[in-house]
Amino acid sequence: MRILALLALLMPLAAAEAKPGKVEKREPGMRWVEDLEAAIAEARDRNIPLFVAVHKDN
Amino acid sequence: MVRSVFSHKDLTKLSYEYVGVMSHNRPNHGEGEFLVKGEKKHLCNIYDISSCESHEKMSSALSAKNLLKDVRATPTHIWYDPNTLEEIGRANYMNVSQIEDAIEAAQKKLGKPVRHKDFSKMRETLDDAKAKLAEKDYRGALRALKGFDAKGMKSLEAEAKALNEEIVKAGKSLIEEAKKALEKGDTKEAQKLLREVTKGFGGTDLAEEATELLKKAKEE
Repeated sequence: MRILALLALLMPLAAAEAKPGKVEKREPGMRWVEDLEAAIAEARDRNIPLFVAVHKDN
Repeated sequence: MVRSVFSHKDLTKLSYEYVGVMSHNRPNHGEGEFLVKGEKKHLCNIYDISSCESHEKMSSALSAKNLLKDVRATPTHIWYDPNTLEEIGRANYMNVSQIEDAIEAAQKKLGKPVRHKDFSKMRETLDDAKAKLAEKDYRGALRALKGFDAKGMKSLEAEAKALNEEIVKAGKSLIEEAKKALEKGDTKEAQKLLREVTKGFGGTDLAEEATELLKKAKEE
């Protein structure tokens, strides 16, 4: 089920535009680090892989 | 708003086993306002775990380090050795099971990891010391750092060292100000500053120096 649910990992579902002025509650979801240097430092400290998800418009 | 796969519970759990960064080279998807753990955030309408500014900045930062070589189809996932920044592997359109396998294989190559839980505890200690230093609660900052062991984690070790140096610098600066006040004959101000040092830096050389100067200030 997990595989079926996530076959398109990191290819987000078509997201409808958020309604202006509406604040939606949500869980934090996946953990991402926003600063590359901090991400590299943590990966080195913890000895774990740096995992990069790349999306782009050509 | 339809939720993206980014909030899926299995992925969320797995995301603590690696350090993930996400990049997209366009900053103009539009954003919605969200309440995440009580904090209001503006998040991208498409990649709803990040602001548009943030994923665009990451794209530039990765390109500057030449870490987005030959990326054509997207989404592309690339995982790197954290020490050498050499690519360990890459794939397109991975599901969670494939990511789990990729991370497991990479981890075998890297050796024993430090769990996020343990890392976070240390991170919290440093953040606590930093916050106390910003509030000029020197005693609290020194107490937070007392016995801090980074267990070989170099960046945390360097951060703790820098924090300690900053605390000592703040203490030295108070003493210098007190000396100047004494020279000007402003004993009251000097005593105030020196008491701040004896209170905030108890048990250190700085506190001893401040105590000696306080004695002098009382004699004058």
